[in-house]
Parts: sequence; structure tokens; C-alpha cells
Amino acid sequence: MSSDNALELLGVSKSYRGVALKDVFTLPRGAIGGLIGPNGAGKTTIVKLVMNLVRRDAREIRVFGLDNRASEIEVKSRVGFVYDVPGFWDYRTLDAHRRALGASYPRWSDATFRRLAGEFGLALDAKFKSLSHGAKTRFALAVALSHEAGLLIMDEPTAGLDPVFRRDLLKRFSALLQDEGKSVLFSTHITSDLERIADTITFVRAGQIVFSLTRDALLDGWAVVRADAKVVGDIESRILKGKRERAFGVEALVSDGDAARRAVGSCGVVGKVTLDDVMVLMAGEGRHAA
Amino acid sequence: MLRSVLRKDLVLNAPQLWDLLLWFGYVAYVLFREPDSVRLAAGGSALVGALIACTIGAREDRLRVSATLASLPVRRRAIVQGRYAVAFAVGAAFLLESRGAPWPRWAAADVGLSFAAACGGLVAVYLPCHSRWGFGRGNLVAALVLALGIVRADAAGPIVLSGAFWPGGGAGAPGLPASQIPAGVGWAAGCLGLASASVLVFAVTAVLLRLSSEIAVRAARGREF
Repeated sequence: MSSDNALELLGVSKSYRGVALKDVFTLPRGAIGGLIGPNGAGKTTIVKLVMNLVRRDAREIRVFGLDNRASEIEVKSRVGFVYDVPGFWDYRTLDAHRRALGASYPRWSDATFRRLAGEFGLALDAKFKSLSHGAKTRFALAVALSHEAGLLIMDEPTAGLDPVFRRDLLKRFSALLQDEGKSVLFSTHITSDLERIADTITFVRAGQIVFSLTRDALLDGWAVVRADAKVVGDIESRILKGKRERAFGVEALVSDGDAARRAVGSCGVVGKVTLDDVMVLMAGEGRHAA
Repeated sequence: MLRSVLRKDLVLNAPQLWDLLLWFGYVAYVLFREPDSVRLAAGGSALVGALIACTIGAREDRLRVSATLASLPVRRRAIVQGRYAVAFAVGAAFLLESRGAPWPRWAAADVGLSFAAACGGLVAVYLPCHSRWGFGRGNLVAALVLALGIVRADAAGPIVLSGAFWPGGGAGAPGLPASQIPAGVGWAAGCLGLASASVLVFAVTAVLLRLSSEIAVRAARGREF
């Protein structure tokens, strides 16, 4: 099995609160992969499946070429995790966490943890409960980065953070990842975060992986068409990914901007796409079969 | 791996269990007043050990730490076995701390055997339920099972029923049952001799715990977060 990929989900199926993931998804080594989709689409389930927090029903999940169940301990020792609500011991200090959690990881580095805690502005004698939400996330990140993890899995790590702090945190992510060549799987519904740092974008809807593309292929190749319904109707259904009614006519998402320009001509406007457009047009009202 | 789990409990959970000191002090006082209730203390200590192990799990569930623990490179088997070790360690500490009674009586083998048997029975019921269903439903199911079985046999009941731990109370309170497990251990020691009774009690307890821990490990593996 090739381990060029940090993560591979091969036809995984999971019946979980109505979600059934049945697709193939890969994250190359050294890449930052973003998972987007509406609430309840299955993003968190994917994260939990990789961490073996929920049981998969079929096929396999490979992390650095290792099955995440058969080699669970090795896989978890190479994965750092940051969950949306970091769960640690409220009344214990960060230093107590360091001593207890560090003992679980074979490649834990106290020096790295102390350095990161300093960079993130965390006082080791502070109790976890006393930290702000942002500081709790930074602490979780410091733990995740202190044991030579090759893959970081983050579930909504920027949710609830203010924009200034979020931008700073993302900058730190990028710097750390560039320096150390780690891979990241990053679930979020804040699409602007991904536009800044993601290499690949994976869209999940109703438990299905609708597409998984590089950021450039998505943002440069796809487009949004604004025209009346008849003109949009002339666009090949193959490239039409979603649409919704607007006051001026119809707004449609297409997977081939050049083909759409040819089809629409001067009867409509073909503009650049943002991840927000993708989210709204693929997941929102007026959903169209992808 | 088990060592790192126990270290986690020692560093992160144990400091939050100061309320145990109240129990320890109270029981020491009662046993000072009523030295004959020493056998009952074995059952009580076992109950406290099992409850503390579950309380640690409950705190971790409430703080959402359980998902963090399950994400560490530690086998769920080690986490479950850590709970069993904590139950016995806390119960034993509870028993030994309550030595208001004369020391030689506490060192008696039948007291130790009574504790081992009672602790084995209680944690064997509590921990698989907790591993499978978490604190709320898990403790409810365990309590129901205990109500149907163990409490009926009065393993831990004397603490409440006979008022053994109340000043002036004791096992001999009229009309109230004696603790069956400690009494059974005493009976076995009388009939078979202490050595044979010890082998029998430890064998039964070991089988019970082995079965229980296997069920608990399977339950923990099946648990989703």
C-alpha cells in the first residue's frame, strides 16, 4: 500500500445519525485538506472515523498506509487532534496535562511543548478552566504538535474565535506546517479560512463526498453564472452543480467556467467563484443534483 | 500503557477527590466507636472503590475528556483495566485508612478476603455497565443489577441497612441482616480453613473479574464518542 498519502478513506461506510459516507477520499502528504459542508453533512463523522471514535461499517481508512483500526496505537501516535470543543481536565494546570498526556506518546517532546506554549501565550501554571476558548484551542494545538505528529486533524478549530485571532491562528498553522511538512485535515464551515490556507477542498453533503479538488482547480476552474432561467437552462447539465432563484433570474454554479462563458455569451454574467458560493449553491435552497 | 493510564489518573483525577477525606474521617470515627463493624467496612470499602472508579469516569465524560482519552495512543483495554486498578486501590486505601479499630484485627486475613470478594463483585457489575453506557445510564443499569442481586445478598447493604457506620449502630442491630459476603467468607474460612478459603475466594474473584473486564473491554471498544 502506497503511503504517499497521509490519509485515505476507501469506500468507507458509516451509518450514523442518518449519515452514510460511501466515497473515496485521499489527502497527500504535506497537504492541507479542507472539509466543508453544511451542518450535519458528515464532516465531524469523517474526523471521528479517522480517529476511530466511531466504528466504520465497511472498507478501510489508512493513515500513512496503516489501517486505522489494525494499527490503532501507531496511527494515533502519529496523529495530532484538535476538536471543536477541546476536552481536558478543567481544574488541572497545563503543566499537569503535559506530564499526564506526554506519558502516552512515544515521541512526546517536553521542549517542543514548552516552546509552543510560550509562542501561543499559554502559562503552564494556569488551570485549563481559566483559559478563554481561543487559549483552549491553542493549548490543544500545542499538545497536538508536541509529539511529532505527521497528520493534524482539526474539527472546527476556528469556530467561535474572533476574526483577528482566527487569522493569527491560521498564520501559525501555515508557518508550522511549512516548516515541518505536516499534513492537515481541517473541517470547518468558515470557508474564508480554507481559501487562505487549504491545498485541497472536499465538499461533503448528506454524508456523501460530492467533490474533492485542489483549491486552485476549484477557485479558478469553477464559476458562478448569473442570468435568466432560460439562459441557465442552456448550460450543459454535466457542469451544472447547483442553482438558486434570485430577483434578477437564476444564479448557478458551474464546474467549467470557460464552457459556461461560451454557453451564456453576452446573455449573462460569469464570475469567479468563492467557497461561500459553493456552500450556498450546493447546499442551500434550490439544490441541484451534483 | 496501563502505567500511563494510572499516571493520568494520579496526576489529573486524584487531586479532585478530596471529598474522600470526609468519608475516610467519618468511617475512622465510626469504627473507633464500633470496632466490631470491621468486617462490614470491607464491604463498604469495596463499594467506595467501585464508586470512585465510576466517578472518575463520570467526571471525564462530563468534561468531554473521554473523547480525548479515546484519541490518545492508548488501548481502550488499558483504560478499562486502569479503572479496575483504581477501584481496588481506592477501596484498599479506604479500608486501611479506617483503622480506628485495633490493628491486628485489620490485618486479619478474613477481612482482606472479605474486601477482595466484595470489591470483586461490585466492580464486576459496575465497570462493564459504565464502560458501555457512560455514567448516567451505566450507573442506572448497574444500580438495578445490584438492587436485584448483590444488595439482595446484602454485600454492601449493611452500610445503610444496619447503620453500621452510624455512631452507636452496628452489625448486630436487631432484625437487620448481616453482610452476606463477609459472613460467607467467614463461614468458608471456618469450614475449609483459612488457606483453602483464600484460594477459593481469590479464584472465584479472579474468574469474576476476568469475565467482567472482558465484557467491559468489549463494551468500551464498542462505545462511540
